[in-house]
Amino acid sequence: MHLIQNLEFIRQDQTKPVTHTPSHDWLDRLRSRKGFPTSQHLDLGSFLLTNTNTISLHTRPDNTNPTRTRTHTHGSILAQLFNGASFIRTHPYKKCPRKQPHPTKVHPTSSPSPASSTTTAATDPGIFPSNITVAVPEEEREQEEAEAVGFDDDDEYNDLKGFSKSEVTVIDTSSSAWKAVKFVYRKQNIWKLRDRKRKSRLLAKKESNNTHMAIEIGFSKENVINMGGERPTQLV
Amino acid sequence: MMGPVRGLKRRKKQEKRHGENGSSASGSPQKEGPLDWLDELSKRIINNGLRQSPTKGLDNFQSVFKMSRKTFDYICSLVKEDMMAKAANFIFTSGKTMSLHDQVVVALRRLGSGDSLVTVGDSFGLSHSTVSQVTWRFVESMEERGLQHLHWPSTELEMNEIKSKFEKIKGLPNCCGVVDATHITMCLPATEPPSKVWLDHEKNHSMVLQAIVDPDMRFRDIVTGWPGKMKDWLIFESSNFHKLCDKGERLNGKTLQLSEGSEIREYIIGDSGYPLLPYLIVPYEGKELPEPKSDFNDRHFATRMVAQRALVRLKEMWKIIQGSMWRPDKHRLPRIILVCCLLHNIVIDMEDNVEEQLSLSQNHDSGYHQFICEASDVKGALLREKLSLYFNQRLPT
Repeated sequence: MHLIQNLEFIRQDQTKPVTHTPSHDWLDRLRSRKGFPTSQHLDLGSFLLTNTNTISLHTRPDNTNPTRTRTHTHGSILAQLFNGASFIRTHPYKKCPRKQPHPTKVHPTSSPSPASSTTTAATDPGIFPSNITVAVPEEEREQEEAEAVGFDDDDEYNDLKGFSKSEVTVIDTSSSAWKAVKFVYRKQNIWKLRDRKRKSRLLAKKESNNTHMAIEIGFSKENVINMGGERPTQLV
Repeated sequence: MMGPVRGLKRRKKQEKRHGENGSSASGSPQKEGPLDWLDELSKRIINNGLRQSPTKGLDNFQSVFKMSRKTFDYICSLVKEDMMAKAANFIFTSGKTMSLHDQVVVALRRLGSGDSLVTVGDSFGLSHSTVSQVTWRFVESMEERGLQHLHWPSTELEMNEIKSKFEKIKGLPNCCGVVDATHITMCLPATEPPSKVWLDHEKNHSMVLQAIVDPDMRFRDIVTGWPGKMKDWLIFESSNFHKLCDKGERLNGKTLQLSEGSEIREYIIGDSGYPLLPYLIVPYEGKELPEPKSDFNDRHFATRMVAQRALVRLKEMWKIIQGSMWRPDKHRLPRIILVCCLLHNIVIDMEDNVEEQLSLSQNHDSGYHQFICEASDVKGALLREKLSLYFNQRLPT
């Protein structure tokens, strides 16, 4: 149903200028290039039945979530309120923002071929090329999981051979220092969690000086703002 | 030495022009008291026919910002010093300086709607980087100033009130909290190796939020920041709450005598994803359980719903953590989650009646399967048996 509506919309949009031009040739060329029928009496029903895949590449799903709609209406009211009439963009050829206002989630999907280690991502064709190839995470073994937590192991580094290491910030409101950087070591389904070791005094001092300098001039290593964010933005 | 700020001349020119032409709807620092734009906002909402439910007693401000004006003013007072202290002023694209209220409204809008920086920026006439900076300054301020709203009960009186309210739900005596966990999903590029650690069992990129909730749906303890693939019990066992309980420094209050010779200690409850511990009681496992056990499980389940509802409400009200965050900074996301939890608690503490406008579904973690932790401690099993027996003795014959 959405496809029909969208197609109707596309058709109306395209046919608008026809009223002002004596010839339909350019319109026919445009239609044929986009895969639409070029005759005057379009049989949209049969066209959709045979060409749904083609059309779906050019249309976006219509989000009819009422909560979302309400949120967006509130947004438009805020826009009017804060921007005032003079700031509401009425120009039809608005420059598209570099960032996507509604980015699409991309999931790696399981490979159709069990032997293959890569797969084609299910992507929005409007954002990503459809032939993008992404690495598939390793298949998790169905073996009994052996998860482990250790914090005070003396020869921990020997234990951690072959583990991938990630730095995470963990908030724990029961700790006196409720925010801490921790390390996650992971191999298959085995997880090891470690506190970040204190660095050498010299290194710590050097880093501290650098941080202070950075704060004084108004930005730090966190000068890249990425709040929810799209591409990082430099704040200078 | 920093160079001149880009666009400064243009902004000054705009500001001058703006001063000549009149002011925008938003309040300036000089007249931030009366919040004139709020009246304008209310009018516009009514004129647009968007007043959702006048009979429910929610005013227009609440329908947009999900909190009362009183709560909004309180939050402004919390962050005022930090938001206005720094030298750099934030300005609208019109050149107007943002007042404290403008900044708080923008931050609340970003956290509450979950809209992208560009969308929020367009709504308010701000650049996306200003939205980002204002929101982050708000988050930094709130996590310091608002932390008092998220703490484990510190007095016996406070704890007694909690126990009494839990007992009123389905009779569980001496219960001090419900632990539950939810996944905060995010959009990360699957091709980048650092994203892999955040890929969970359901093929989403996510971070876990573990919360211990009181009967009023207030968060009393949270742990967040661990990757979504980590199991609930692993996160619980790595938490400081667990360590404090093990050391006897938490859930160490008054025991309760159920009957002669049968005493129970303080405890919390959780689902089957957690281990059975001396202070953490999980339901009986298995189908076709005998009546005392199934009755216990029913009571246990009904009491646990408090945590379910709290997490649903959190995600409904603060949509930034509902799953659409695009490539968030993984070190910042836990802090955003914390601030959303603080705002959640503040709204409850200020007794705002916002729940009726939320479409509270029962599942805060849809699409995620329950993993069962079979670890069982003898003392925990004994405590559960005592509770089950206590209810069984009270059952009508």
